Amino acid sequence: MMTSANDQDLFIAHFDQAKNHLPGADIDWLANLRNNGLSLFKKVGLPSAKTELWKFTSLNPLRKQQFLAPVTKAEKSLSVTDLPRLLDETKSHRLVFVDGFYSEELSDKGLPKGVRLQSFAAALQSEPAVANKLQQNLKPRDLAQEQPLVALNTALMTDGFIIEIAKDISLDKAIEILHFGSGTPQSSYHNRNVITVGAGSKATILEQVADRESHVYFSNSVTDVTLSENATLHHYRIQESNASAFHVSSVQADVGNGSSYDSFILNTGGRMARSDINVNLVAPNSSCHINGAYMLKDDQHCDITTRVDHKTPHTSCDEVIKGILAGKSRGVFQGKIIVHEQAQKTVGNQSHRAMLLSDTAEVDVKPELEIFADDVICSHGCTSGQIDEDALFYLRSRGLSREQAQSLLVNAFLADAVEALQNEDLKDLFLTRIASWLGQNPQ
Amino acid sequence: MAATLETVEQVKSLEMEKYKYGFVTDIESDKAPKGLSEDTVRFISAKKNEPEWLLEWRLKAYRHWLTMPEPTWGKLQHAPIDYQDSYYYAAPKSNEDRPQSLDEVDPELLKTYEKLGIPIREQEVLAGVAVDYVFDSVSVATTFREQLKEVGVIFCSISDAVQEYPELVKKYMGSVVPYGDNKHACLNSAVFTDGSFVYIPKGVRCPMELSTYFRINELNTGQFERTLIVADEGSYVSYLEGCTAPMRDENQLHAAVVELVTMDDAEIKYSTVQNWYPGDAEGKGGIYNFVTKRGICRGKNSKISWTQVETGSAITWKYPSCILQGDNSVGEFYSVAITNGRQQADTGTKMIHLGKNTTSRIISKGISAGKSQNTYRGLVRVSAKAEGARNFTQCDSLLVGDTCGAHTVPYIESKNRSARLEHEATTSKISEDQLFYCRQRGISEEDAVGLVVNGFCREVLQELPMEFAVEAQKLVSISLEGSVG
Repeated sequence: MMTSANDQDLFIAHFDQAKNHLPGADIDWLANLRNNGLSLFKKVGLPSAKTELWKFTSLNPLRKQQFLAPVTKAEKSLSVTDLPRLLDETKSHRLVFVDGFYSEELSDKGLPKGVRLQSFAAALQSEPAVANKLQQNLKPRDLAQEQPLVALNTALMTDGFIIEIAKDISLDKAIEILHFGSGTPQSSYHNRNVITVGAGSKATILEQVADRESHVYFSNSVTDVTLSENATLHHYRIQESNASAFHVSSVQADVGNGSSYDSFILNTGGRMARSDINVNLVAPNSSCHINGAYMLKDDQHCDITTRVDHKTPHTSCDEVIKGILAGKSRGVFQGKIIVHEQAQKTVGNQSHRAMLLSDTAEVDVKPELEIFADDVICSHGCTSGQIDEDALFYLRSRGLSREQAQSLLVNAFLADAVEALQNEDLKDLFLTRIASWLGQNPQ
Repeated sequence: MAATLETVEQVKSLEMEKYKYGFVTDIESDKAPKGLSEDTVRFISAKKNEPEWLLEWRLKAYRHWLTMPEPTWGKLQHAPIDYQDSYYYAAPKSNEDRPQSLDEVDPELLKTYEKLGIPIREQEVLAGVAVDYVFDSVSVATTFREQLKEVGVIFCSISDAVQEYPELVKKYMGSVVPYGDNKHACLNSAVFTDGSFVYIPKGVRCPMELSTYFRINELNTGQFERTLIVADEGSYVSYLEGCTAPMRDENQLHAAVVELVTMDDAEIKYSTVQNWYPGDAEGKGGIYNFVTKRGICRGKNSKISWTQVETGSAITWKYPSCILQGDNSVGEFYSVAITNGRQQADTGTKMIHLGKNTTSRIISKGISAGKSQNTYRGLVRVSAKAEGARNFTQCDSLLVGDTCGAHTVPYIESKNRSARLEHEATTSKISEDQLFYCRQRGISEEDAVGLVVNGFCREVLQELPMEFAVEAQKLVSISLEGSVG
């Protein structure tokens, strides 16, 4: 077994190789930020089983890989027809990232009004005012101990998307972002994304992670979200990469007065996928929904870790996560709701339900309530089990085959998490994904 | 926000509430020198006339203890423990010459019991309870022993058991909680001074409820109790444990170990009412209660049930657990934990499902008031072979006042698809509607809160044996007296 010092070495070497290629090399504040990130990462290293937040998710398979530094863009040529698309052009405006780098030629042209879309690298190369604004929107995180991969991202952030939505804009098109793996083996990238939504605006951002063929790569992305007053952001993500890919993502959203952050994550791909979602409800009447579903098979591993900080009175959060586990897969859910002392009148509900379809699957759950205010209503619920035999019998007694009945029940189980989505197109899309997964993996 | 203001005031008065059982009995005692070293361990062992193997075991534990880190994962804050600042052995002087009947018992002791409100003779007759009083680590009076002997039940102090039933002790001690389990259990293994030993032979239903009253009496004396209960095939026993402690200034370390073993079709019901001194209004001087309690359902269809009412101690660190090894075995955990003032409780359970069709049930009720922190921390683990395992967990927290905290940290790990696990937790304050309803029917606010809290805890309190339920209800009301309405 490799020691933790060796684990870090690869990524520290990446930094040395990449530092002259990283965007914004001549910007002082950025250089400082990167150096801070690197020294923190050096100090803490990759999380191990002893890191409480990574207790159930081992990075050992990742440690065995020899990833390449995030230096050069992929050479493989791609055309738009090679790429999957979730919503058609009339319903979404799409940005495309190939192996972590923004591709202008593959992305849609013509911007929706009131929106500024830019790649992270381009933003750093534009005039200082833009770059400095970016500085404000990169959120300071508690990088110590538990978040070494955020620190690593900070050191190595190469590209990403910057989405700025002005005041009082209601977007009729969704903004779709495709993160596409072109098939470059052992590539690694650390995208840094920034989303800011102006007062009174509404937007839907839809991220898709997909790739062309089976290959090993490592994506470590960090997204900083800021919602000012009375804004609504629907942030939906679908991760359906090949079963050899490693994905680690961390979203931190600060939600302002009267605003709502609505997140949904559908996870079917990857060898290992870890999604951290941290929401700060920093002003009264802010709220969030963190919903999601995962469907796993073979030796896939999916970890959804959420943390909601209720920092002021009259805030609410609602989480519903559902999981289906087949093969030797392992599902992890860790959800923390923290109600700070001054956050009276908080409502926080959380539920995680898992259905195990095989004898070798495993689910580990750690829902946490940490409450320092008294006038609150908080709850969490977790269940784990298999398909209800009674329900199965009922359906079979009405002439359905065992397969049909099981499929129907699993579908219904997952659909519950999707039902809450307000966007009908996306609801259909997710339901189709669930149905096709079940079609490919008959139970 | 009038209600909130009132609550704040009530909580304030709660903090001032004096500890009812705060008094010190003056008995000259036979102490080991202050501090912890191999010599201390040897002193204790020699004092107790222990066989070589036990001394070796203690020393092994001591040496291992030196290498172990302090557990830091609990949501607890306290100054580092100075292990050299405690006495590890204190026995009432009359130990060498044990009293054969109550008449021979030191009158000072009897007075102490009277102050506690448990007149010893009355209790014998009244409750049908055999009490193995543990007074400063050494058992001084064992009642009903003869009667129990008739049916073959062994109920004695663990020191006696070491002398009289060394084979049983050797076989089971450390088999559930190995000495290296955690730092506190390890310390206990090295320096445990006394405790209870119970053996229920095959097919015997213990004719009475067994009970031990623990009481810390000497200043600066850590209490290191060790309890071992073995229920052989088809037997049943209900064991009660309760504690009160006198007022003092320095923090006291209490690291107990309880081990339970059940064979086929056997059942152990273990109930605790814990009311150690919680410290003063600033949280100074309370007991540090680090307890390792674990039971193993070794046989088929066996059952272990833990019930606890935790109202005392400055710090409670305690996770009564069940290892469900035998097929169809059952584990239960019922808990009420009340914290106020500056108390900190981090308590919960572990249910480890290994056998087929094993069932566990966890009901935890946490009530926090004042400036206290109350955490439920639990683990439900289903191994791959535990076909048809079933768990139901319910953790409810009630907050009284806005300066306290209530936390829930459950871990749920399932490796078996046929396992059905359900966990639910809620946190809220006392419902204004319920209080209003009671008040408009002429019930005073204090009584109304009492009613609501009682209702909140009822599921757990009703699991207690009758004699204990009364005491527990009293404790609950004492804890909340003057606090909330």
